[in-house]
Amino acid sequence: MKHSLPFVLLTSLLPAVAFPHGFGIAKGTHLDAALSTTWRSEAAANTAQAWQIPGLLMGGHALPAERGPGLDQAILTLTHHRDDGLYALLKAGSHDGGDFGLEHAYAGWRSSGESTGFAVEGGRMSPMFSPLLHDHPAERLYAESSLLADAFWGRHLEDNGLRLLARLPADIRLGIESWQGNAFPATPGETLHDVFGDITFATGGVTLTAGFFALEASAVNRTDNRYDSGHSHGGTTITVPDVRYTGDTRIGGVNGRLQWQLTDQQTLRLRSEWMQQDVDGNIRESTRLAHLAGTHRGMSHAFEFKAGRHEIGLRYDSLSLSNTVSGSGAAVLAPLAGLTTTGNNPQKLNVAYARQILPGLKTRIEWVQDDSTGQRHERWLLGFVWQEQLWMRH
Amino acid sequence: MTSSRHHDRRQGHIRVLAAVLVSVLLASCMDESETRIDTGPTGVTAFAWGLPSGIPLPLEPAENPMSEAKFQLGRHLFYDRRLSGNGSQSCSSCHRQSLAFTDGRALPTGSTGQVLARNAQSLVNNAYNATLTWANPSLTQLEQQITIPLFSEDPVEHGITDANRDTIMQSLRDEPVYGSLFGEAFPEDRDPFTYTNVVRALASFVRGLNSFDSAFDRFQRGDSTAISDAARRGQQLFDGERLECFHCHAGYNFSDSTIDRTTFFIERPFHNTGLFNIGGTGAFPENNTGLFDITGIATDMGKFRAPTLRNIAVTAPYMHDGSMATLEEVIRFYAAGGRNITSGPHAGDGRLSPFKDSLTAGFTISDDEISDVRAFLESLTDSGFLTHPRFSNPWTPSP
Repeated sequence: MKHSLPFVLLTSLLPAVAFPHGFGIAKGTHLDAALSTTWRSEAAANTAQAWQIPGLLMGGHALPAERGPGLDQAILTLTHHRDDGLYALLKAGSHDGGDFGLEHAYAGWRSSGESTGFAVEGGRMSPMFSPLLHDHPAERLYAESSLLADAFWGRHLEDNGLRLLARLPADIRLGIESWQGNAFPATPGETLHDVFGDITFATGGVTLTAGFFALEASAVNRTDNRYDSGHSHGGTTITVPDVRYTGDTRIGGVNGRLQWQLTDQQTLRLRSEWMQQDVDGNIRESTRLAHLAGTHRGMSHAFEFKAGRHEIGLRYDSLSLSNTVSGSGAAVLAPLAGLTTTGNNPQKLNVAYARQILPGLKTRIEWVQDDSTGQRHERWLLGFVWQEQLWMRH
Repeated sequence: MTSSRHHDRRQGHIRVLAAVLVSVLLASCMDESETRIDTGPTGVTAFAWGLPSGIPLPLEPAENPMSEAKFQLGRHLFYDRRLSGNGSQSCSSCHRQSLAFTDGRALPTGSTGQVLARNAQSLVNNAYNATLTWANPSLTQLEQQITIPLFSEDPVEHGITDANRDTIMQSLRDEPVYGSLFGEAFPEDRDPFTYTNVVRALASFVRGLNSFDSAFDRFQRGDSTAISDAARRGQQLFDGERLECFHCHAGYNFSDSTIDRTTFFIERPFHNTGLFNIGGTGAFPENNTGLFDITGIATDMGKFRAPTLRNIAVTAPYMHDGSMATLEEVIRFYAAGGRNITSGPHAGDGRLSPFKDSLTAGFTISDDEISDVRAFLESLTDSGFLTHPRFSNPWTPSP
C-alpha cells in the first residue's frame, strides 16, 4: 500500500464520470451508430506469440493491436424509454476486428424523480463499476484501451446480470450488480458481484466527481481464452499454455474526474483511476500445481484539453504486479502462466490529437509508447471516428 | 464584491488542480513488479545436473541419490563389454552416443544374436520419463529397468546368468580402475562389488544423460537466429491444432509422459497411433502388443509411450518396431491418420483401428509444410550432447 493512501484520499476529492446506463437513457426511441477505425504503424506485440503482460494471468478480450488498418469498434445502439419509466436497450457491435454480434440486450425500470430515485435493470450488459468499462474507442480521445482495463478485466466485460441503481440527494449515486460469472475474471457457474458509487460537485464551470468500487469474482479452472476463437482444429494459430486458475479475485478502486469549462469553447478534463487487485488461488496444468497470491495495483491518469474543434490529451497507465507462487510446481508454472516479471512495471503512454472535421466525424492521430511486455514498442496511429444519431422518435 | 467572489472561486479551482497534480506525483511511485517463487525443498541435490534455467530438477530415488562418483562408475560400466555373458556386448552396443544413444537399426540384437522385438530407445533425459521402455506402466525407476537388459533370459540381451555372474563380477574386480571407482561410489559398503551397486551406478549414469541445448533451446532462450525460418514455421505447425503433435509430445521434454520434482499430478499415458489393425480387430502383431502385453486390457492394444523428440533426427528408424525409416515417412503416417497394410499377415487398415487415439485422426499437409516440420524436428538436435566427453566412452581402448 506504499503511497496509495494519500493518493486515495486526494483522488477521492476529484473527478466525475457519467455512467451511461440506467438514468442515462433518453426518453423516446433512439438509434445511434458509432465507428472507430485506425491504422497502426506497428503491432503492439510480437504477433507470433500471445500478448502477455509479465506478472498477470490474462484473459477476456485483451488482444494486442495489430499493424496496419483495423476496426476498433463498430456499434449500433437502439434504446427505448417510455414515459412510465420502462426502458430497454439493444446494442450490436464488433470490437477489435472481432465478429459482429449482440453485445447488450437488457431492460429496466426507473422511478420518476428527476434528481433522486432508483432504477433496476437486468439482461446482458456491461458492469458499471469503473468509468474505464465504458471507455470505448469511439467515445474517448484515444484509440486504444487503458492498460488497467486490459489487465484487470480483459478490456471488455459483458455478462448476464442484474443491477440496482440509486440516485440520492447531493448528487450521490450508488449501484450494486450481480453477474452470472460468464466473463473474465470469473468463470461460468461461478459469480461476480460488485458495488460502486460516486458523488458529484458542481460549481461554476467546474464539475468534480469522485467514485469508488469493489468487486469480487471466483473462478474454477479458468484458462487464458483470448485466442480461443482462433484455436480451432483447422489452422495453425497462437497456442496459449493450458494453465488453469482456480480461486478468488478481488478488486477495489477509486476514480475521479474533473471537468473545467474554461470558456464556451475551451474545456479542461482531468481523470484519475487507481485500483488494486488481489488474487488468491491455485494454478495448475496437467501435472503441476502451485499456489498463487498476488497483489496488483494500477493507475491511470489522463489530461485532456478541448478548444473548439481541436482536442489534445495525454494518458498514462502503469501497473505494479507483485506475486508469490509457491509449491513444488512453482518454478515451472510461474513462467508457463506468464507470471514471471521483468523487474519493470508495465506502462503505457498515449498522446492523442483529434479534430472534428464534420459534424459526427473526427480524425485522430496518436502516438503510443507501450512498455506493457517488458520490451518497448512505439507506434503511430491514424484514424477516424464517426458517431451519429441515425433515427429518433419522442 | 463580484470580483472578490470570482477571485475566490478561481483560487478554489487552483487548489483543486494542485491537489490533482500532487496526487498524480504521489501515485506515480509504485512498487516495482516482482514475482517470488518458493519451491520449498525441491531444489536440493548433491549432483551437478547442469540444467539450464527453467528446467526443473528430476526426481532422485531415496535409495540411490545421485552422486558424481556413481555417475562416473556407471559411465565406465556402460561402455564395458565385460558386463555381458560372453564379453561381446556393453550397454553402448545398442546405445551409441553419436545416435543419441540409439543403435541406428530397426531392431537391436542381444549378445547371443537374439533379435529383440522393439526398437532401441534413445537414452535422452531418461530421468524425466514417467515410465521406462516402450510400454510398461510398472517400470518407473531406472534401477528396475536396468535389470532387464542385464539379466533377462528371453530375449537375451547382456546375458548375465547365475552361471556366469560370479565370473563377470570377478572380471570387474580384476580391473584396477574399478577398485577406486566402486570404492568412491559406495564408500559405506565393505565390499562394493555387487550387482546391486552395478545397477545403481548404471542408473546414475543413464539418469544423468541430459540434453537441453539444441538450436531450438537456444532460440527459446532468445537467440532469434538459432533456427531457420522453416523451423519456425514447423514449430507453428507442430504446436497447432491441425497437426496436434504437441498434445502427446508436450512440454520441455516433448513427451506427455514426463515427471520431475515439480510434478503433482502424475500421468503415465500411452497411445495407439494406428500402426496396425490386423483383420480389422485392432490387433497388433502377437509379440508386440504394447501396453496390452502388461495389462491384458483389450483397449490397451497397441498403446505405447510417446518418446521424447529431443535429438529425434539422429534416432532413425522410428516407431516401436523401427518400421519407419525417415521423419518424412513418420509425418506422412500421422497425416494419413494411421497405416493401411494391404497384404501379408499384418494386413489391416490402422486408420480404422477401434483402439486408435483420437488425436491421430489425420490432417492435410503440403510437401513444403512437411519440410518445415522436419526442419523444426531437426532443430531439436543437441549436437553438444552427441559428442560431449562427459557422456563418452572412458576406456581407451574399449575393454
